Amino acid sequence: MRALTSLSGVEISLLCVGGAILFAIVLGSIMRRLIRGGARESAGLTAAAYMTVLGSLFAILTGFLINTEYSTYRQAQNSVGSEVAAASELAYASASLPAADASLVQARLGTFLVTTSVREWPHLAHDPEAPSPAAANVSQLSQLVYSFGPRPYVDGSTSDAMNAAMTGLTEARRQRIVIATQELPMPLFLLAVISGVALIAGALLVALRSGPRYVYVAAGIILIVGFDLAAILSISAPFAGPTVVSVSAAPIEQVVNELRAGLYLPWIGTL
Amino acid sequence: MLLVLAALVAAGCGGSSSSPSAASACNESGPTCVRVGLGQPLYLGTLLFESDPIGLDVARSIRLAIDYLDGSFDGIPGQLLGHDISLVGEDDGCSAVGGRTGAVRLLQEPALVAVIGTSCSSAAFGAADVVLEQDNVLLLSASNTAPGLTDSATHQRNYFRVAFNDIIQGSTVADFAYTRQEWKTAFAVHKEGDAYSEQLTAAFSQSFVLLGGTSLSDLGVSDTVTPAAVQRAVAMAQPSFVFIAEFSPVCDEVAAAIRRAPDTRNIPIVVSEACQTPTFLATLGADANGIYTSGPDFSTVRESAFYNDAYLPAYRRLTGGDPIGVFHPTAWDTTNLLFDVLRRTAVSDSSGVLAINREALRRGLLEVRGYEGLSGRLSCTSSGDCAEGARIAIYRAPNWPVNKGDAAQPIFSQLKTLAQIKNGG
Repeated sequence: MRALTSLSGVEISLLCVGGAILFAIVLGSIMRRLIRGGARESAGLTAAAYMTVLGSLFAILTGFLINTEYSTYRQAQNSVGSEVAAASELAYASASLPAADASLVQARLGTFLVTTSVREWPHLAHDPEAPSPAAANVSQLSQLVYSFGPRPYVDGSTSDAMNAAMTGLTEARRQRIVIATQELPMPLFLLAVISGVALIAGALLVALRSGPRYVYVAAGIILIVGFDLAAILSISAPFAGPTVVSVSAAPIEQVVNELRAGLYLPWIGTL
Repeated sequence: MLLVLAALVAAGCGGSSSSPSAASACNESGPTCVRVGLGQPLYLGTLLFESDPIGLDVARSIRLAIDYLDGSFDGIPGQLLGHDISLVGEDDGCSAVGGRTGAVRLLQEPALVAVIGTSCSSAAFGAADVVLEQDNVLLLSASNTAPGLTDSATHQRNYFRVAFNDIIQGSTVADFAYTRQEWKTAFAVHKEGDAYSEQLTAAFSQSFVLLGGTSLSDLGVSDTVTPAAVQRAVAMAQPSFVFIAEFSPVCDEVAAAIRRAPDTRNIPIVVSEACQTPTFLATLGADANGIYTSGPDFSTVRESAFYNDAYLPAYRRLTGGDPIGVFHPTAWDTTNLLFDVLRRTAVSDSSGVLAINREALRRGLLEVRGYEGLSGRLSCTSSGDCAEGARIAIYRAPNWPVNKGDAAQPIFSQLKTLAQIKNGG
């Protein structure tokens, strides 16, 4: 399933819409061969009676899946937002440390964020269950941040703020990884595919009975089925798939650029 | 609906990465760029006078800064941007020849990132600063104080210093002598041909005269002008006090000659921070008592919790004793400032090659505004001065920082900025 959801937008579209069209063409030609004369009339009438039910079933299933997967996608976006906010808080809090410490903490934070956006992001798309390339960086960063607590020269409020930000950062990151490991529920997706197949078959039977003028209605249904399934696949992997519907690492890259520009360093930035 | 869905799913694929490539920063190693491969060290030059306490003190502080790259003083050198730091050391010989030769030798390393040094102003002034300028290599000093190094007429573009400017020290000594002690005539002694020494006594004399005092002489010690000759000249002039801006051991010898001769024994002596060494006190013994010295006011440094709780214990662990000079805080700041600029300007590509643009390093330094260092507040200007000002103190032997450590209390202290003095303050 992960291989399917990791495809690009064009690939997913070709697979789903193209697949639906191909399936309809093949099924239509079979129907034309097997169902002839009066059988077309009765099959068409029967199919028309069930079209509403099949359509509703397909709409409910795909609607449920799209809603669920979109919620996951939003959740992933929120976790990235929390992570970026925590990173920013950590950078601000570290500015109160002596200059050498502030520079060091922000450098480690920058290294972690660069590794996250450059190496962990693709990793989440392809193999999120494997050890993350950013694990060592987050470990080094947290060890450094938590080491300031017992140091006598560090103000208590500074170390508290840094610890809280670090906790927020690790929690948000963990949440992001958990979301990345979640997969589209296969049985529900299969059910949606089956109901889509049934809907296409029904539409073809109705078109077969009504004649060529109604083939456009069937074509519309075929496209809707194809695009609906494509939409489900596209949003079901927040860290993979089409760029438009995958969670962007841009907010993280923005903090990296801010860190590199020294915006969180009191002797450079605008604090 | 169909169009929206189609637009959604048919949109482009792939992730994004905005990290700038090393190639855009530096294409190949050369005068402006240094490329450091995966696993290779960053070559940092030092051009110090390590046979003298001033240079040794700075060298120790640089080692401590490298140790602290991992955030702890554990005795194990840390890494910068994933690379070890390899120190390439040369002796500045405390002379222009030594500075020039050392700089040429350092440039043999093509991947040299920057140089910390020199110890003595004379080794930098018109010497190391000019040589390193030709290869666009930054020279950052923790202990050069000669005003000429950052004077617009003689400043080299890639030269910066964290140490205070002797315009401040000269002005403070003049204030102490004329205003506080009410000494009206001064006799200055410098080392002939030495940038630090000559420029400090010149700055002092200028301030002293501006206050209303009289500068009787600014005598240069050389092979022909011995300490004994200086003593005779002082005896002839009978000034209110003598200001000596020299180095050990000549400084010790001049002070001893004045102190041990009956006709000059009671003339007060003020020595500059270059004489503020344990050897000076040891050489003069009891005769050192009462001799004044100018130098950085350590009470400010000692207010730093980081200095007391982290730096000083680490220094003692490293050396087995207290700091032996007055420039270890500026050396710490110099090294960390360089590390900070490297972190902000070096660019690493996907293959792990680190590209360092020397021009970007310089620009990075010029961005520093209000860096709260151990030695004070730093803001680097295009003139090369990073110390916004300095608190210069006058100590009275035997209560010198190099002798009494934390217990040394200044008898006079002034915080002045370069801007204040240049505006006539």
